[in-house]
Amino acid sequence: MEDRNDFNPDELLERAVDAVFRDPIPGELPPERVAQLVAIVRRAAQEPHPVTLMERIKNMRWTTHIAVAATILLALGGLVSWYVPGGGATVALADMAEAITGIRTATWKTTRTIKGPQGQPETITENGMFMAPGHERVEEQRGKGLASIVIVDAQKERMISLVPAAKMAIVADFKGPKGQPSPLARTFADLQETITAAQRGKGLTVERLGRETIDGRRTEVFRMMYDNPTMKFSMETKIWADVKTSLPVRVERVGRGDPEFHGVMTDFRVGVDLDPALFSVDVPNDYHLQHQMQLDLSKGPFRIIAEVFGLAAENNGGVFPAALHGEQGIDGIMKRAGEKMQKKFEKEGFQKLPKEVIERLRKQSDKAMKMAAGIAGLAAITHNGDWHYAGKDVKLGTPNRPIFWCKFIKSYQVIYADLSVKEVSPKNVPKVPQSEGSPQQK
Amino acid sequence: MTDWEAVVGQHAEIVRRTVYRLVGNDADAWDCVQETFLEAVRLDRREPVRDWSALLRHLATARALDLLRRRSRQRCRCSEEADPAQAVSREPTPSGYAEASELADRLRMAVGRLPRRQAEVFCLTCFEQMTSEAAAGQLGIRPTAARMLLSRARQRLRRLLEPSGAKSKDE
Repeated sequence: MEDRNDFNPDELLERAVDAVFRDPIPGELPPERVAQLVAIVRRAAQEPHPVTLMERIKNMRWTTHIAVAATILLALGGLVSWYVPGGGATVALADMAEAITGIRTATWKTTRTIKGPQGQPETITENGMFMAPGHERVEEQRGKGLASIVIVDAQKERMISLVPAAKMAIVADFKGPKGQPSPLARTFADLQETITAAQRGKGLTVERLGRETIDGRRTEVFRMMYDNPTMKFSMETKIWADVKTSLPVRVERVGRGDPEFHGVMTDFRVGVDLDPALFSVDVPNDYHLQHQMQLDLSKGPFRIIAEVFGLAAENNGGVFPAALHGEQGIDGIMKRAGEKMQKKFEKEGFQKLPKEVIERLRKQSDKAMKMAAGIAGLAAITHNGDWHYAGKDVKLGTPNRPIFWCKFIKSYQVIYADLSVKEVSPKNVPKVPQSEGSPQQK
Repeated sequence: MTDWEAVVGQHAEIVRRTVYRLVGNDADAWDCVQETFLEAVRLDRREPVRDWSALLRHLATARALDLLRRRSRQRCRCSEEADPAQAVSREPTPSGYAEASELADRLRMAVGRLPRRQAEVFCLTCFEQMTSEAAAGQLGIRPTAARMLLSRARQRLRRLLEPSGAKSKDE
């Protein structure tokens, strides 16, 4: 080690410059990115040309030049401008990520389109509120009144749903893996995470679509795509970001596949004064607690996924399906089981039923929630992950028979035919023949 | 009428490498690449571009420097930095690679703290290997001014890279 007294600043700077040159630059720009760039540039080149002050001056007659020059000198305070707004400033994705993650409070409106009981489209309007860190409140409007209020506290890992008309509360406690975003549904936090992930290039492709003016505000439009072809699901997020503040003016999210959804967020206001009491996840005094659910995903979703595999085997004559994906695979079987359960709920309803029926439905709704969590977990894990499925024709309950294993953090989680879950090191991954797996399988 | 497909096709990779060298990651580099070409569209409207390579490298450097400056403002002043006395070996040992990479990051951060013109001249001459005359042409300044800015940039960078306890103040 050199003595600090021998430190040579010239040499250090040269070494630093050399280090920047030696830092490897990975790969090269793939053809699809070049094509994307050409499309972006062409769109920008076709936009209306903002006329700048200098261009107007260049095109004037010389007599007018003098008058204009005098006017400009007088107006150096910045009050006179013939510059048409829109040129010069751009919104960088990094700017938008920085702006949105710095928000402490916000409100917005959401308009969602869902399928009604008979498959007809229904529009739902919601008022959303956000308070950092991790508090959200969404009020669903129906007619003049509130249909429901959902409040999430990500730090307490709790969500409460309130039905004002019935003074009813349902509480859900979700425990997620440490260091990961909360598994609770949070509209604004999800938007922040999407933009941050896009800015880091993680799991999303981003495209600039050019400029638009909304309500008199110049915006830069981005499209972010999440695509999971394995689970046949994609989500498109379009964001119109104010060129001055880099904050969203409008956000449109379209989910294609299962589930399908369409929502538009507008009327964003940030830095508003919000009463912390609005985000309380305690059951209000005048409400009764209808149901309390618990879901523990702190060790990852594998135990829940094991339950999903078990349900799939039960619906497949006691053997695990041939594959994870496809109509006869686990996700196809679970989708049909979920639709059957949904029809049952719609038929039997929840009001005016005997207590034992309500209790049964409550257990099934817990089951449905776990199924949904398990399927969502499976989708997330099998999207670009290192996973392997070997359950074809294996009987449910067979001991010591691995049917699924997946890389999780630094080790592998293995699910067995008896629905037990074990963590193994990479050198001890199962060596049974695989029927399906990620591209990384050997 | 500018053939944007040809311009992008010929220069996109060099633009990417220019920004990547400064920002150090793919996501930020991609963002800067897009901004570079969008800025080129605006400039092309005002007057025809004669030297696309030089212009795009200048714009790419400027966009990357904007990002470095934003990063520099965001980072905690108390963050731990490697003692430069540790980054002394030129031998390609594994720890040598890590130290060199860390030194590269420190230089990027230091460049983000330079005044704009100094940073541009430094990057165009040291990283883009332009002569001071060529860099001056791009920046619209005299070559003597470019050489003075470069000298000041190097002085400031030497101070910013000094070991802890001997750091100079930012301007």
